[in-house]
Amino acid sequence: MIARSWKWIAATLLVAVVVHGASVFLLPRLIMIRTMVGIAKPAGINAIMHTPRSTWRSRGVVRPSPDLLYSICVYDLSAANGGVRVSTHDAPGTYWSVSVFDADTNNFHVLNDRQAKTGTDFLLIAAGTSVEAGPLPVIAAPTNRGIVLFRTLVNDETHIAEIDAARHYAACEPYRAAVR
Amino acid sequence: VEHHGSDDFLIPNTADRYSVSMNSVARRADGTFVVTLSKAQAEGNWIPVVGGRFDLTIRLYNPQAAVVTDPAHVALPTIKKVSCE
Repeated sequence: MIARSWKWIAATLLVAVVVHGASVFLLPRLIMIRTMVGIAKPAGINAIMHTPRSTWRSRGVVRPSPDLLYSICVYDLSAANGGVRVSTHDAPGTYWSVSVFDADTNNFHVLNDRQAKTGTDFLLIAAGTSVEAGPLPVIAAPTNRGIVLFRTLVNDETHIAEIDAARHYAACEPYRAAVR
Repeated sequence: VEHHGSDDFLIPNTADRYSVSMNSVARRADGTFVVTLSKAQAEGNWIPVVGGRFDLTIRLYNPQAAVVTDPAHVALPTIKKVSCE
């Protein structure tokens, strides 16, 4: 009787460990794979896509903000031969940010208008590699694939054309340099 | 302040209204504001909702340092249920 109970307890613990492990380690990656595939389909890889302002029809990513303009880029450092250059100009008079996520949903780098008043320009490379980046700051990505998300706040509806134009200076493209 | 439905997406409405912001909200003389969330169009600040659950999110961009260091003491808007179908 006692032996049978222990078997059930052990089986339950085993299932719990497996489910917990799958949830913690696999779910974030699966979510990112699904999201990256959905973005890369229209936008491509290592290329920026400026999405229209969110409405109720925006169903790609949950909890979109109707007051932010999103530009997005799926990066793949294995396809970039050295790195991916990420840059944006300042969007005058409003909040903007650039966030970089790895393939497990971790946000490992972020900059906003307070930290980089005139915009930002940096090189994303794979962890463990190096590249001749010149004056560019270099950010090592924990995974080869991930997402760069640019957010620009529409803080004044009368200036939406200028704000939208400013975000179009953002870029996310392969950096042509040989890895050492 | 913006709203999302129970599916975590913006709530469908023909007016394409989903939020109010510090620059778009109409304020009273004392600087405070009231926003109505309802199916039927309301006077003043109005965000349309449909039946069912929804939630409200307040997003603070570039807040004062005190908000970052002590977010628990931010004076958030109050929410009052006026009626229910």
